[in-house]
Amino acid sequence: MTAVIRGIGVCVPPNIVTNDDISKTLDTSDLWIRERTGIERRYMVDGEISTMDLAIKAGLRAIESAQTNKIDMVIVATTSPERLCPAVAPEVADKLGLKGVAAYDITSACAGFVYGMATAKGFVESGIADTVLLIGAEAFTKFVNKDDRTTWPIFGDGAGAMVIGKGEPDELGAIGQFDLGADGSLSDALCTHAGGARQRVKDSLGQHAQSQAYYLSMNGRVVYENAVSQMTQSSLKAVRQNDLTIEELDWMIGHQANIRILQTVAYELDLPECKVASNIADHGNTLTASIPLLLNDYAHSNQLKPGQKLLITAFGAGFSWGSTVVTWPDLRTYPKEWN
Amino acid sequence: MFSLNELKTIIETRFKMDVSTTSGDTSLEDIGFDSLSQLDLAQAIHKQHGIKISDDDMESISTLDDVVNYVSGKLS
Repeated sequence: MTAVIRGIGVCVPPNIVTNDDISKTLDTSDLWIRERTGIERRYMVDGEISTMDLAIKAGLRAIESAQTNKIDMVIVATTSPERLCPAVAPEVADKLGLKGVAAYDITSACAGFVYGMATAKGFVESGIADTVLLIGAEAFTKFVNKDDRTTWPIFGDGAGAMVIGKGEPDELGAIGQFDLGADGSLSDALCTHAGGARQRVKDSLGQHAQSQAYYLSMNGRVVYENAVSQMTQSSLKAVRQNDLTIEELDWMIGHQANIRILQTVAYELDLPECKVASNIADHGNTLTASIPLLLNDYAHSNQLKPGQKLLITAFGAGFSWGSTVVTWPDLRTYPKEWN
Repeated sequence: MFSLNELKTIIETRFKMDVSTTSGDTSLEDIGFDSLSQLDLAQAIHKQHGIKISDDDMESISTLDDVVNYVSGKLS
């Protein structure tokens, strides 16, 4: 018995922000953003829409895709929870009509969905759960400083969900072995300094934190180098663990942080660039939502076909990273739009 | 030894650029490199020759000859 993907669903907020929109308020340009990141536009929450709203819609679509209502666990991977306490997942489960099922959040930033897949696989294969609804949901732009040109153009919002249930190793949708890793010595390179227990409102000297401390800060060079290095090494390990070769892969489904990171990882892996799946132009970096949003975009447009071998790999704040291999199943998919 | 032609081959393969007529004193910026391209070049050199260019050293490199001399020095 092994864990298999039974359904997928995604959702984006209705508001689209282009590079030109961003260039009106920041010292940047469409060309600069596109050349360095591959991003052209992104969906951003505004008004009342928040992480949970996106999670509920994506979760509902994934349940419809899986054509089941027998979910006995909900896991939400998010870096932008509604509140510090409690977790988002119990309320999402309640709103989805999944009364009384196990529900909790995991926090592993951009690697969160891959960590979530590994967690769901573990629960299913150990028999603790039969069918897990895994959701990656983010309204992360609420945590990014609109005046910081190094971070504001990069991020977008959205949610993606996957139903993971029991199956056989040779079945379409089978989730393979994982490589997971982390390096906390570099946690300051990509973090939100204030707002947590270390620096709640005031620092240890009683001083109020600078306002930027409540928003994400990033050392782009350190992140870029480590993302390339760790995604490459992790991908190689995952491919080997699953008794495959790079040549046998049909697609690299990499976390959509920067197209140039993905191109460099492909180069390091000797993977043809035509096998690098990407929708970063339309979404930006949606953290935990990026992997399912990419899978849904490619499946819904028939670029992903049942039986294809996918390398899934992600890297993010922590630093943390993870990779696995999946055989893509034949799934019903739905558009990503809000309505 | 690491030659200018070897560097040009790496650049043409990795970045799909034609640098065949470019001389050694041409700056990386002039052939269209930005800060990320420089990181990618360092990564490509590391992959093929096992030479790691540190962040500090990278800041002092501006021309193709600078890259050649740096890698040659490390290889010897």
